[in-house]
Amino acid sequence: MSTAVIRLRRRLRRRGIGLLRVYVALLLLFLFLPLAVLIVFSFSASGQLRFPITGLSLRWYREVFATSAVTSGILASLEVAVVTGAIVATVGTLAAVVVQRYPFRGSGVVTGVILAPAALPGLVIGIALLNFFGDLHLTLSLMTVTVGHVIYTLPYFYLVLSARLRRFDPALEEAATDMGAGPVQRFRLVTAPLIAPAIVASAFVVLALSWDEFQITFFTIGDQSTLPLVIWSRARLSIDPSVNAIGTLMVAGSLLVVLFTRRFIAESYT
Amino acid sequence: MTSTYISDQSDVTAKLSSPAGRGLYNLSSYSAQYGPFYKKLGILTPLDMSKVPNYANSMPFFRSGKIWSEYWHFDGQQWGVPFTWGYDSINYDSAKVKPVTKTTDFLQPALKNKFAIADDLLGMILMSAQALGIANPRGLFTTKELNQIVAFLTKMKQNARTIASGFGDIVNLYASGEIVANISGFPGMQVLVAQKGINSVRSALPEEGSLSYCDTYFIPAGGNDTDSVYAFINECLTPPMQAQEAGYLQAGVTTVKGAAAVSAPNRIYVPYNDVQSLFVKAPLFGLPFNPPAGYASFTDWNNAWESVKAS
Amino acid sequence: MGIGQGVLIPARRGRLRQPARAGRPRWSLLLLLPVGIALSLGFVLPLALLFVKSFETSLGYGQVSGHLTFSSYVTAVTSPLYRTVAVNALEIGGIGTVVTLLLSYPLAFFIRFRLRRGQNTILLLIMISLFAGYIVKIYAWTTILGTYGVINTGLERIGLISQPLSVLLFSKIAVLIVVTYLSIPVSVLILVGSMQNVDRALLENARDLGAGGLRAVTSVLVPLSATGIVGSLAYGFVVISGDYITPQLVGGTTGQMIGVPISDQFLNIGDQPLGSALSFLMLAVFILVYFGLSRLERFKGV
Repeated sequence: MSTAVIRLRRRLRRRGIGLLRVYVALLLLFLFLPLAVLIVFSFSASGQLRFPITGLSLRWYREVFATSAVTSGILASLEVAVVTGAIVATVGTLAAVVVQRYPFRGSGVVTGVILAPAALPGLVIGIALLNFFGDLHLTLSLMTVTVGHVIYTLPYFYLVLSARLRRFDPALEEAATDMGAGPVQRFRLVTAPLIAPAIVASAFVVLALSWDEFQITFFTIGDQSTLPLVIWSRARLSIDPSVNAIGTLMVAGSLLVVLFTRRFIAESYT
Repeated sequence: MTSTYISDQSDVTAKLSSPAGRGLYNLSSYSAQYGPFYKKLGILTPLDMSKVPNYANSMPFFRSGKIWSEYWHFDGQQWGVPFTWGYDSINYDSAKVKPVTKTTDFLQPALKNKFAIADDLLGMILMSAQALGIANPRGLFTTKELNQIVAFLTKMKQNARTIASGFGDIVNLYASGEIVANISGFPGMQVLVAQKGINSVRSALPEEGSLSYCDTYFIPAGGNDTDSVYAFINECLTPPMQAQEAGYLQAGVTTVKGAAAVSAPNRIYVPYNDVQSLFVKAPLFGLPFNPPAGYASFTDWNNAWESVKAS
Repeated sequence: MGIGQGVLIPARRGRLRQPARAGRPRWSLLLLLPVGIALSLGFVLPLALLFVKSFETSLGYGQVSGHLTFSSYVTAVTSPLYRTVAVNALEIGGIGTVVTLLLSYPLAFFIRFRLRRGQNTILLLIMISLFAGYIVKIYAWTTILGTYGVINTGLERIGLISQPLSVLLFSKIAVLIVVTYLSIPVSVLILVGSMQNVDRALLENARDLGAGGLRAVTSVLVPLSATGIVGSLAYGFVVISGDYITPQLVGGTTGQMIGVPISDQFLNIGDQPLGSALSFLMLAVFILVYFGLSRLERFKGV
């Protein structure tokens, strides 16, 4: 290590601060600075996204809630997210449980195929779907958007759920079988309650990913826009703090969902 | 009647010509020059003009003559109803820079890194053609001429701050002080930027010439040409609606009585006192969807613009 | 409800049951059917059709003839039009993912090994920062990087610069900063995940054996978290080089990437075969990168 760094380290150590801590603080600042800018500007009284701010106002929030395009966008996004979550949770749980519990010779390949969509950029998935729906003469709609979201989020659901399933002790299920439970009883009384929190946590990831998705949705959207597309359309005409207001609402929304499902998401890290 | 905002004409083409888009919309609009092309793509419906009596109020240019017979009334039928129109111009911030009046000004060091180019393929190609002196009303360029245009635009791009994907971006760039001018713009830019508190943006028709556009309603094939759609189109040609359109769309209107009804602030979008000479300086260029051999097609224009953006 | 508390399963009366066999019920594979159908219809089939489309002859404006040819691929590879943006994508993708990894790794280490109690909170906060709206975050960066933005104004105020740095926005650097910013959260999550199973004791043992702090990490932790490192690099490269929005919004005239012409081909120009060909060439590069990265993992792996 260079002498300058060693000297810096000593000086920081004297104050009880590690070099690593300084770095982490700076990186977190980097991560949250744009969010701070986003939130602060959403309260700006002037219509410009120019620094510094001259006054504070709630007008952009009022305008956002009064705009039907925005409220329809929120509803459309919710609809797509919930349907996507339901489909992915069902399909993904079955797959993850089977591969986890009953590994077989081809399970590596199966996992590979399930994870494959994550290896492609949203651009390619989007154009493949647009082309596909065109060939099928299917009108674009929220349904076509949902298809894209299911494909996009499934790998992440599967990854998170598999990781959690791996940590479960199969001895509990064996104990149930030893005590005389049949497969359905075992599932109902032991397995399901155990993995339910993991499913909810993984489903939360799906909801969050779908809520924010833009790059695939851009190609598969019909005449009903999801919120990210509404933001994009608005920005084509005018970039003003109403865009920030929507962004702040999205952060607030995520925060609420996280606080609500915190119990399920949190794991004990040893 | 619900409406969807589609960002530009190419989106309309893509959505309506794809089988996935059929039946999605009962009404749409094209920029006049697209008329014959859309007819060829099969996405137009012949119009029953008896249901649009207000069309007779249109200025002569929009209901008779050469241009009319090329873009709106051909093959013995009417395919589109023009309702608003305008032209592309240069915009500049008069508080920060001397008036910018020539397309070639954007190649000069004085504007280096201080202006935005709109991602508007028609506007940029045709304004460059005008500046190079090779423009013709049918929009026909030889491959060599198209390459000249590409070279011209590439030089301009290298001089620019950025290529903006929408007018909203351009307004934002003025407001945040990143640019002092833009091309291609339109007269309404000064109103848009004024909404952000900057009142010094002006518009100038380039000395070398520019281009016009004209929004035209049509009924997409596969849509329902119900009476309510016709009633809507007819309503759009009444003076009060035309006056509103002038303000909302920041454009000129096509009917005589409508033009009279346009309020003073909205009269800046087109020179109502001399419509004919504007169309001389800024023609409604034809587009080469089916050019004769040796001439660049519209696809070639698209690829040319892509190569400018990617270079 | 605690695990195992209060769950009472009555034994079947009067029957001595054998211990359960850890066998696989034959119907278990049927449970894979839903995911198989979903992926076949929504992923495999569309990709296959796109691949076929790349060999069609374009008639322009979204129309194709049935005649199959390699011409789109030839155009894609030989045309100088796409070379600059393809190179930009590889460049920014490569540099971006490496920078993302380097920036994320110490943070991941800190979260996993240095935080006793705040781990979940900080991970959740990072996840929340992900979901503020992709477009909105990019625009927030234009406010930060602009000629009169946060950074330039700040640097001028403290006297470090006399003229604003216009290169911070509408340039390759701007794209690099923004895409790195967008990838760090997921990268941190991937890395923390891969560090979960590394026993804290291993690092402490290395320390006891005399390795300095940094050496303990590089010689012990890095090989053990190789999966996460490779995962982070792969994810970052794919997402960054395929981004077609960030270059449009902050790339200016020099920072455009290949995603933009691909998207334009499909939405504006209508030359689907060319757009598809470009996409599959991009995928081919990704496969090469994955292959290279998996080699790396085997090399570092324990």
